[in-house]
Amino acid sequence: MEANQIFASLIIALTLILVLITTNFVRRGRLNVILRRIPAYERIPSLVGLSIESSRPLHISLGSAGIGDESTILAITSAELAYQVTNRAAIGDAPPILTLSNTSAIPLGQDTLRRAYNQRGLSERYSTTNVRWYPNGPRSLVFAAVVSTMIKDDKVAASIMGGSYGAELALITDASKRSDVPIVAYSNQLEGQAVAYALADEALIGEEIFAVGTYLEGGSVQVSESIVIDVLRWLLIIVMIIGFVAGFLNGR
Amino acid sequence: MRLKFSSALATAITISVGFLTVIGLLLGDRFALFEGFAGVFLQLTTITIALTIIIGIINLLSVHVTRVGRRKSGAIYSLVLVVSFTGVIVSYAVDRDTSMMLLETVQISVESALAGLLFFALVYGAYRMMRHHVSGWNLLFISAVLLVLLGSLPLSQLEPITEVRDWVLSIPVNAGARGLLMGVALATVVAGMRVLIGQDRSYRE
Repeated sequence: MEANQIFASLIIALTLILVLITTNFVRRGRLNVILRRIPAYERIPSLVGLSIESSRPLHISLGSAGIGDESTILAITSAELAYQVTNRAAIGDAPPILTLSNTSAIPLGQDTLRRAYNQRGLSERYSTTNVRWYPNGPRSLVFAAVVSTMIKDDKVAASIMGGSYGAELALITDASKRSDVPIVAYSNQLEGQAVAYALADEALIGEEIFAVGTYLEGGSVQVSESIVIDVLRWLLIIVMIIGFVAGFLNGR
Repeated sequence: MRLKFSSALATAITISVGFLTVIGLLLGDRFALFEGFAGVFLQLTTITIALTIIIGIINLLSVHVTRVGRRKSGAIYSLVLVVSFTGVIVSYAVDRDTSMMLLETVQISVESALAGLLFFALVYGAYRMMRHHVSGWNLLFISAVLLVLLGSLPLSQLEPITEVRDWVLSIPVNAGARGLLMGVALATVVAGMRVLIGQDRSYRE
């Protein structure tokens, strides 16, 4: 067995144990969790309110995240964001629009919207055409161009961009600003994160998107997930410091 | 809590397949049976994903035909899309070279134009950011952008700036990028584990 296989097995086993333990603790109310402020999550309820009051649709996007590649978990997490937003906005006159550029995410997107409407008892309002696939082209520029025009044509109230984008996110944020449409953005790509931080009204940075359930719902499973991420992060920091000190003492 | 049989069955299948695939990928060289399972499941995933392109085309056409039918705002663009789609299918069936020529002359030109537009969108965005609100972080961001742009100019007088730019890119930027990616990777593992043990919302509803 190679060293990286042992290392991967250890991380998976450790994560599994931590998830099970913390979920149990959170369910029993034995952990007092204080969450730090994330402005993007604070903004989302007001964007939903804006959509309902103005009878204009919310636009949610998964970008190029899809099922079956390295962005699978990001696609599932972004779908959770779409679920939380749709669940709140379902009572409005204009149904939210979910866009994506990866065909493998279409069933995920349709199932997410359907479940959100079902949970509200408004399944008759769900339409498969509220999930829209736009081909991305080699650099996702086509997707960005289509979403930019859609923001204006569909009179979108606000955009919430989860998933994966590169620098082309600048075209979408630019179109949003020109139409005076507030935008919350995230990307797992560094270029996309830089654009989101600089040009979006609010940005989710790094692993913040994975805390969507914790902030927008606060269920025990989601809270325990955020705790485990923090625990693993501190473990990683400690391992890195130990490695640095050991290397320093060995004269490397 | 009432649990549907179909949901329970789907969850059980997902958890079993997920764990068998993980074990097959991690310990495959020791247990050929698990490696075989993992290989079959991954092949099935690849085939299923390939089939989703048909779902994508059906989705694209249904969205735009509906828009044209209801004469919604921007329906003219939807009409152009439907006509173009039909035209490309017909041209591909009649003469594949013409179809490829259309792709190269239209698609690549449009994408190149958009890539050029991207630069202006970024610069205008940076300007708008400063006009909207000047903070320490915004100033730092603009300073870094200017430093990188100036350091990239091929002028010998700007060599000290180029050295500073190289240092900024190789130390603070690199460290920050690694930190962000490590955070995303850790969160991905934890979220993946939640899905693997059947705690995701889709299993509960």
